[in-house]
Amino acid sequence: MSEARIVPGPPATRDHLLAAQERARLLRTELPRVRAAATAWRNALAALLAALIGFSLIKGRSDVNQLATPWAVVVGALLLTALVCGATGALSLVRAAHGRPAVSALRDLLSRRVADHTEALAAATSLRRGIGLTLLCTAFLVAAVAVTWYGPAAKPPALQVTTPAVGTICGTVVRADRGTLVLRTASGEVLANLSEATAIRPVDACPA
Amino acid sequence: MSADQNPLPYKEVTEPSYGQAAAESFTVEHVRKGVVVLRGSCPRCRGAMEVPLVGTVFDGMRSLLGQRRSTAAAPNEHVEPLVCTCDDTHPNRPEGRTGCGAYWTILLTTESL
Repeated sequence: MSEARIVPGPPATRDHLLAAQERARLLRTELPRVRAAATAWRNALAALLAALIGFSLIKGRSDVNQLATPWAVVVGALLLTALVCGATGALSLVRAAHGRPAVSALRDLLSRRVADHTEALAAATSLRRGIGLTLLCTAFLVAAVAVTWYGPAAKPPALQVTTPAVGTICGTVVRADRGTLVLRTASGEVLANLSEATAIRPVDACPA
Repeated sequence: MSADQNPLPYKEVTEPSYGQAAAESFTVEHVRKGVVVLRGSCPRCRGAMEVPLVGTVFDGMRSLLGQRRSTAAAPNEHVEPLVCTCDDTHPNRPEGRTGCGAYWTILLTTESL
């Protein structure tokens, strides 16, 4: 906290006049300028996200279950983070462009010029935060799509078939035809006769 | 003299007495950190005026990038140029201007408590 006092200053010059007029102009137009900037940024970033998502400019696998388990979780986490960043960023941009619906005690109200300046600085802070979070949201979306592109695919479910002739074989299904099943096992494709099978069990992965 | 009844024409003018009158009649309120508000009557037209002296101001993208323009000089003691910003009507006032055109300077001293 500080105390301020004033005394007469030196003789005023034309430069002083211009400086005072410029300060008055900056303060008088400060809030409309930050509102206009926030509206422009809001529209531009909304258009960017709409183009990226709405027009499928970036698109990966539509089902993350096609990814190997840890990578599917990574995609989910990235999408959730993008959602949080996008929602928070959008709210920040809206707050910067339109203010917040606040109710204040009458005795706490500042003068209009000071209140406008305070609101302008708060709006500028919200605008910076909104821009950052929206761009972060875009980055997380791109990262999520990249992981779906380049992440390893999930292994297809395997079958473990037991027959008296062959014993127990385990592998992914290649094809089924006329009571036989062709499995791709570690040692190549193996034909299993289903009519002789004594047990068929789906497994997540074949034993090593 | 009431500006409403007999408004002075807009004229960019200064006199040594303006600073003296402002220093004697203006109130100084330290609203919060970085914001000092001067209130009083214009020494020329007697219109009520209020001048916030702020440390930072939004200045377009430069502000967003962190390079805010400072409208107040360093703390402690510094010269502040003032111009009438009353809301009264003054004939011949150019578009975009406020007040009656009177300008002067004061020496603002801030002391930490």
